[in-house]
Amino acid sequence: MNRGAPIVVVDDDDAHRDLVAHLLGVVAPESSVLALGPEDGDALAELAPFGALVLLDRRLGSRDAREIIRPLRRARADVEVVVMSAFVTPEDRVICHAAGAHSTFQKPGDLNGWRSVLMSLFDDDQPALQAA
Amino acid sequence: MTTEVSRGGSAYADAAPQLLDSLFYAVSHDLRSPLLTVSLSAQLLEHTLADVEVAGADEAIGGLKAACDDLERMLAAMNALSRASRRTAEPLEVGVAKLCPGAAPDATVTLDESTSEELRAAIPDGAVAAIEGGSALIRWPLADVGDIGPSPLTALAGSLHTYAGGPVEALACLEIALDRHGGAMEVVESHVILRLPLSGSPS
Repeated sequence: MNRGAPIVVVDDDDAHRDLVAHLLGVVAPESSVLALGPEDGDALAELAPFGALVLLDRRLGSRDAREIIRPLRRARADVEVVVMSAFVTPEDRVICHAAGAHSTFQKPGDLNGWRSVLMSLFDDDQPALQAA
Repeated sequence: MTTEVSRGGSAYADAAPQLLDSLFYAVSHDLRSPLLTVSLSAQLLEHTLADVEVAGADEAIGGLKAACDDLERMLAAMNALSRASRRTAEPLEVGVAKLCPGAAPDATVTLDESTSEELRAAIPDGAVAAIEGGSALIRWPLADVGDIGPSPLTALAGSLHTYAGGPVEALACLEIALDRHGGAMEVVESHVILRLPLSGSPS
């Protein structure tokens, strides 16, 4: 993914989502950031800017991220989906990758953690990030 | 009436372990998101106020960050315990000598791969193994944790704040994992003693 790609944050925790959207403006100022809630999950194919990096929560309420990733990737091959979770298990990575996610990572708790994650995702020479 | 009440009580008793496990997982998992919000908020405040002098700001932000680190440590411990209790991997036969060099070469125990790897990492050089009845006993000294009583899991449950993130947490996870294979762990006179039923022995 190219540095400066638009970023879409999708999370059902409103406070966390909005804070992360603001934080992304600090650590990735060259990217536009769109914050969406679980109600927008099925409309991501229409809402995500071209070439966007979608940071998708592992679970949106009662919905599993797989239910959103598969149709999104079918409709928008230009969009990359990275799944975020409070705690990531090896099973989560396998499941999300099988559904079409680029990678899965544990939500970082600090600015440097988010910088690391984004720089790894935006650096074309780096291997796909598996965990923060 | 009594029969209805009894039936309901029995159903709850049957479901309680699963419900508790689900609750345990939910607590450790769902609490992390708001914790991250507080932690990230503190970091953003620190970043925003980096060039501004505000009385008390450093202390307040430092307090937030320290508390978040503490909560993070304890939630990680709860999550580790929850995962240890949920393991469903296929059991394999493992030579006791692979866990503890010097053990009887023909003795094997039955463990899942994760537990086997964790045991290999936990059992230090110098641990002693013996075969007693139908079990392998592995014993090593436990240093620097004070008096935690016979059960690391009980110690951790009694004070998450004291033991989360340290060697007692790792032992508590092993204690859960061993129990699932019919084994046991006990701390006696500052020594960890593992009892693992030999493959083919009744547990």
